Amino acid sequence: MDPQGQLRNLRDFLLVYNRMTEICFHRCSSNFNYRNLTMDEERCVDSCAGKLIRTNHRLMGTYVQLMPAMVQKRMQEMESKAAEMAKAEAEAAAKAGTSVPDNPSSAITNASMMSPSIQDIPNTSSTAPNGFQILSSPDNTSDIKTSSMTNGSAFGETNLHVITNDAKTFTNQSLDELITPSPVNTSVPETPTAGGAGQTPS
Amino acid sequence: MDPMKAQQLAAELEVEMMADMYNRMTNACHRKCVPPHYKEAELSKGEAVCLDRCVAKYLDLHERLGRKLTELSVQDEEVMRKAAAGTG
Repeated sequence: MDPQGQLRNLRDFLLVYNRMTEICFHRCSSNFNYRNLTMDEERCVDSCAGKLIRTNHRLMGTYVQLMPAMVQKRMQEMESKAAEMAKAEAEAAAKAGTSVPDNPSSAITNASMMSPSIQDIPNTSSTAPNGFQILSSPDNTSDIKTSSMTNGSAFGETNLHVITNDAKTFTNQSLDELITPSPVNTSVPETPTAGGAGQTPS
Repeated sequence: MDPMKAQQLAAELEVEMMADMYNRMTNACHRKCVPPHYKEAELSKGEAVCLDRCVAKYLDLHERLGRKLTELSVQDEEVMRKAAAGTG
């Protein structure tokens, strides 16, 4: 493991340790007639520590089991939304006819997104998956590709299966007959330029 | 990352966590020992004694939990090793 990862793990461990101390102190210490821990308090602290650690393990195991399914569900929702938007844009482009944008293929090509499926997640893990994010579905379809890739790599080593959208993509050539070219004068008259900036006229 | 840099970062992290622990201890002992009727600015004798004992107890508990955590993590490692040996 790289030193950065080790430091992150150490930080997480120490934070858990501090928080555990705080929780167990609140729950177990009530008698301040003595400086040392009483027998009851010692027993309580041992039980508290064991219970917290086992709780943490249990929660981690359940989290690791359930999270991939939730991520996959989110992916499918985003994918279906992207497909709907692509279809709507294609219909709009077909209806518009003459008022077609310069590069209509880009709108639909952006919508063809990748849908990584997360597999081979271990059932239990003693370390938390670092840097896991659940991203809300983005507004425009071009952002979906990047956010889905981020979600896909959430659990470290996962297999990404790229599934491209089957929506038909139009090219400029296939739309040539739709657009009637209007004669435009593209020639620019040459004008003699005077001396550039900073030059003194001779 | 060179070892010196890593060591420095680890030391900084340790200081940061000690500060975090101190903050938590301050909050806990203030809650346990200082009742929220602030009639006067000075600590009463009872409050001062309670705070001293509270700090001693908190640090004792912190140390004890550290030992417990180490012990449990060693046990976990052994279980994992046995499981790996069983499957291998």
